[in-house]
Amino acid sequence: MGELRWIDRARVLAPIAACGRGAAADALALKLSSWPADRLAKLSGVSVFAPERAVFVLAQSEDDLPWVDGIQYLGKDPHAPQLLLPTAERPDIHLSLFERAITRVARTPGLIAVLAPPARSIIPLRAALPLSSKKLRDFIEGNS
Amino acid sequence: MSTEPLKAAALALRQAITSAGHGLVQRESLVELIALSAVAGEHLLVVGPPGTAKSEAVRRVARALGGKYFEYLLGRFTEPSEIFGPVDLRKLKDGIVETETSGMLPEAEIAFLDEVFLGSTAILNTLLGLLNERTFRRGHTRIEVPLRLCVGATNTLPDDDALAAFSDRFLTRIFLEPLPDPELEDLLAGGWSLLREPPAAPASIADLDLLSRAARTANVEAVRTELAHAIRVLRKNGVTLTDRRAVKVQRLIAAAALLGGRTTPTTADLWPLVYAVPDPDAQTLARDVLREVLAASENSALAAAAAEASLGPLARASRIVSRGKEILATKPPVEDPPGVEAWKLRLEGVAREIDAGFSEKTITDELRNLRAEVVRWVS
Repeated sequence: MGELRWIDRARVLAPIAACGRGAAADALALKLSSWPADRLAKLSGVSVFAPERAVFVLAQSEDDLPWVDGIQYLGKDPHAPQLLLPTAERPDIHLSLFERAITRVARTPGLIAVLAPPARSIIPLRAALPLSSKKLRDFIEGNS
Repeated sequence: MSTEPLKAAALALRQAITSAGHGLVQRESLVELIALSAVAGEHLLVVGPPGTAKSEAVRRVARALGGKYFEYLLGRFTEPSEIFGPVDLRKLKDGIVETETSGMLPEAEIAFLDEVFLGSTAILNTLLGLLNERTFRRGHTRIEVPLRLCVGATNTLPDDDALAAFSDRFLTRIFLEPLPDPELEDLLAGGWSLLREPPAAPASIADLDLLSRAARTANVEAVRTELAHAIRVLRKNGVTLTDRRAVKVQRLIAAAALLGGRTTPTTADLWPLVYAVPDPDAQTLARDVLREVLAASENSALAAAAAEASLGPLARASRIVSRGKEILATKPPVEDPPGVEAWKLRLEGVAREIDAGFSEKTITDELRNLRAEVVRWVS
């Protein structure tokens, strides 16, 4: 079986999450660490250190999401409600089948973020916690 | 038919559309489609969440046309008498079941039915005849209704197959989203002006009727080959139009031509085909696969609807570019740090909309250039 192809979405998803990888992860954490507490309270997040440093931020509304150059936005497709997928691209396969395959691999309940190539990552977001400036600074300094 | 009265009627409708759209932010397509559907004599279904100006747009077009207007929010327990009128009790004493329709839907020229699919079977069955045949039948009452246009609204399309026949009566479909972040200031300004401005009535139902009659007799044969080709392209890409829709879309095309100042439709008038596609994802796909077919689309009276139908993602990009340039042009002075901060937040909203809405393959050069300039200010 060949590699899974990703195609442009006919209808883009509304973003409800953002992901920064590598240098963008540090830039995202730095930006968020300067936000006031009431603005941060609207977000939850997960940090990852392998296979590469990454920060995932989830929001209830698109308006609450940060912008930093280089981050990606993720959203929910009604055909795969357990997944957070890139807003402008999708795998070239029926999404409910894709969701089933991903959940089988991830073996975890809750939301799962899926990043398109070149990242090709599957990140469970069940452990997402409310953000705080301290946690963000700890991430920047390399403390998990 | 002499063209002067037609030109005058088309001009009046154009002014009505402009007047009705004033103050409604990013709802130009909706207002234009209401007018297009009215001229075509076909009904419009608006799908979108609450608070997206659906009823306000219809009300304003009705006022701009000076037509008798009826509006109702349907619910699961709405009684038929609330829509069609109560039973005439005097006649009931004589054993005759007649409906007193004064001020109710059967006497309306333009109607708006919110949450239209929530109506009971009794209501929807009666509505079916009213929408399809312009005839109201209930008990001993049977009357021809003056309805020119019914706009139905719903939060989401119904899943129930039993509603398919009723749903299919709405030939034109538009799917609305709430306004994106960078346009919120315009929404607030526009909404405020709506609360203050008295409505104008630059056109009349007589103008509408004149255009409708002309639309019914327009020579659509001139574009039939291109239309058939477009429908084949849709079918080849998995977008199915029922035969009924394929035939009726010709009315929308004829109406678009008249409103665009043409008595005979041309390839510039094929774009309403997109709005006859009943599903939102299929409409987006239709815009993409028909890009070449609809490349000649143009309509001076219905510019927003024509542009959105024919460009799809390009229309979205074009709108973001236009919006982004407006924001960039309004940079506050450095002596106003809070103003600069707020301005930068608006720019971040634009950057977010670009990054979330386009991939490396779909981003246009103009959008890429805008992004570069925005990033310069907010990074």
